[in-house]
Amino acid sequence: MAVSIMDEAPEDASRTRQQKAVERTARWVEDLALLPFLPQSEGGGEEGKSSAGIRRKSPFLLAGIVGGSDLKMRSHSVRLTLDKIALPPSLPPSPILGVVLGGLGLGETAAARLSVYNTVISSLPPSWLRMAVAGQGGMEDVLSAVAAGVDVVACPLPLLLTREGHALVGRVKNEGRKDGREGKRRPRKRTRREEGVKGEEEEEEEEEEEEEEEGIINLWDRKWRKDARALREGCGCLACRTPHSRAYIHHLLLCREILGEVVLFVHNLEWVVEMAEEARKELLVGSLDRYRQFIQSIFA
Amino acid sequence: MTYLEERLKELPTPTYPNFAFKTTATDPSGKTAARCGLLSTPHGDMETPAFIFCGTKATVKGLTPKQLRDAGTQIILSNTYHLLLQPGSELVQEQGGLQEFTGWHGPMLTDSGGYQIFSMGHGSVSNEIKGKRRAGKEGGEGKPHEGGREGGKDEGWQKSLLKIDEEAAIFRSYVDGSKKTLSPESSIETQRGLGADIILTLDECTPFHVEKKYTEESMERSHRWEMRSLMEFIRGDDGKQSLYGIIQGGVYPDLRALSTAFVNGHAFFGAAIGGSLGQNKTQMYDIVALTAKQLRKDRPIHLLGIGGVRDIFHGVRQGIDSFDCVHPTRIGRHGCALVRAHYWDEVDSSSSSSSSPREHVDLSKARFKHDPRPIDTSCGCETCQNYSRAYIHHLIKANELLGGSLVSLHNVFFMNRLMAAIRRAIPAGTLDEEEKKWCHTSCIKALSCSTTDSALNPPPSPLTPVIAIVGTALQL
Repeated sequence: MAVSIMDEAPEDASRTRQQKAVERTARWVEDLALLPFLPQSEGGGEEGKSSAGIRRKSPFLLAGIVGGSDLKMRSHSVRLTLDKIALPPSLPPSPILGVVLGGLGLGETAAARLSVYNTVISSLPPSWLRMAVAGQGGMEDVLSAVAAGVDVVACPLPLLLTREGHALVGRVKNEGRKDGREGKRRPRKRTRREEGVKGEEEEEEEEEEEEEEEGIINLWDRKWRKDARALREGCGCLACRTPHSRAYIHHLLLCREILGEVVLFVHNLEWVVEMAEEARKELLVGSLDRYRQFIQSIFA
Repeated sequence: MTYLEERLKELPTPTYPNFAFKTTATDPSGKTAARCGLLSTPHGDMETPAFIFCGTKATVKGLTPKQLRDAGTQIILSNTYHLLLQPGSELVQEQGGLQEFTGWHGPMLTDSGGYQIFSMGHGSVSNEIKGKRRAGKEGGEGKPHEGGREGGKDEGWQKSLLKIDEEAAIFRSYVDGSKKTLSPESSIETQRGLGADIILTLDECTPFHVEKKYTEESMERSHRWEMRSLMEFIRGDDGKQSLYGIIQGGVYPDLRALSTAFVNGHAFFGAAIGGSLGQNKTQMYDIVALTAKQLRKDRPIHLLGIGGVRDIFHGVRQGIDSFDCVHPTRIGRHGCALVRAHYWDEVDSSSSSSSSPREHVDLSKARFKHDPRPIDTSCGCETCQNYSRAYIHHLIKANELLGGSLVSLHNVFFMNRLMAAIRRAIPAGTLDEEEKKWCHTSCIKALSCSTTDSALNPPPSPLTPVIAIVGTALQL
């Protein structure tokens, strides 16, 4: 798969600028759709057909859709792209497989992003693949995108977290805790503060208990210095199977050892892969939204 | 020295009940002292001759324990000096010892820290170890390191070593700048906390380009420190660790003989040949040869800090059972891959044949940019099975972690493969043929191993090592 070049204007760009971006991007998609290296140049007919069984020399295309958070602009982008890639019936069908929702994560709010997903996806041919970059707002961001209909999510979070020395340790499965406690997270600190000033002891206790439900931990933190536990219970990644303890990873980071990043990335990658698997399962039984709320509570 | 020996006599002799070493094969022709053996430790057995990889700060840089194991690694070592500074031996002990902490549940060795206090910031010795050859005015005369800071230019290296005397060495931690002490007793105690199977005595690292008197005094101090190490070892001995003694004596055969006798005569489990081994390969080969000859054959013999392929073949012929060196993993990290002899006979894709046969190739060189071949088609490592020279070249140029890791992995596999080949060649009597597969003939010819006499005479004056090298060459 290849993605067309997009002109992604930031959130605060003027309407004119967004318009230019939309038109430019659609033109580039059109150019790509007609390029000689695409299948139709190989002699048309059967070979050009984009059916699953036939081997292609060139990649399938994902057309870029831009327009910032302006919904009208986004609709315009979709319409323009659909027009431009409508090729005459004499040529084999276009190699466009789907779209990439570009120009996001450039300053818009999560709600605005969601509206963009809905607007664009509802106006696309239903068989098209939809791809977006998500996760800037955290893991639940990825699931919001999925809930709105995105099929492929490019998520920079595992790498960004690893660079910072962070590890995803929250539960992936939305099931009751093994020790019998409720799956829900305890009320946040804010609420407790409202209830009045607590003694230091009580606060410490609460802090300790809260630790267990943390979604992300920072392995640079001195408190992991002697923690012999693996990063996440039940995690199948190489780091947790060896197992490499939090204390060891903390030590590796302090020594600026290469293995620190290696181990963290392998672990974070596994987490995201497992979450994607879970999301697919939950989607099939119709409880994706509940799963999304669960993930949100883990990382809140 | 007499006082310490008397004290030692009063203590029980360690018997190392959980350790064993036995010779399993020797050179059938009897021409060399090469031998195969089996070293048993509480964390597993090790076939010798073996290579020990350097996992300085409780990790072999960039490689997971699983990768190391899959590449045939039998044993790794960590450096006490670095670990005592970060995270400290108490913490490692709480975490279950190095094997648990690192996830490498196999045989491990720690050194005493003696080498690092010298190499990490002490003028003349540091420079020598780093390969800077200068007519040494510093440290050339006078007593072994005594008193305050040594003067002399350090070329910007932060001098961490503050003071050494009979009692201990005092240095600054590079982690937080605090003052730390390393004595024979504290070194053994630290190594006990770290929990490696094989540990070393604390010795004083003497440079080579010094007068004999200096070397002798330094050697004697090392012996005193080693006895104190042994005493501390016995005091806390629970059978979980074994202690190796270290042979010093510089480049002087008679001193080496004395030191060998010393190590032979005390209750160490094994012996390690240490200290400065001379100013050139020939001298090093001779020192190793004469030392190994005089060592007890019922104990394992380790050669410290030597990892070149030719050097290993030479050491094996003298009866060395194990080697350790940062070389394979260090050069690997920087993109230099160890190669066998046939590499140089292959048609190289580049026109430049100015590269004379060496033991490794630098994959960051431009001639690998378009080379689709693996490093070595005969190598079964993950790197050679899956990645091309061009890809590795790209990774190194792009400063990607994976580049260094892939080449390190290849080098680890290479060394393990080398040692396995040596272990097969010894009983078969084919060491010489085996060497030709690993070292190109032009490399072997370039260094002619002298016989016993020549080059054993140390340079006449420590102030003119250049003349000495020429003199040595002429004697050949």
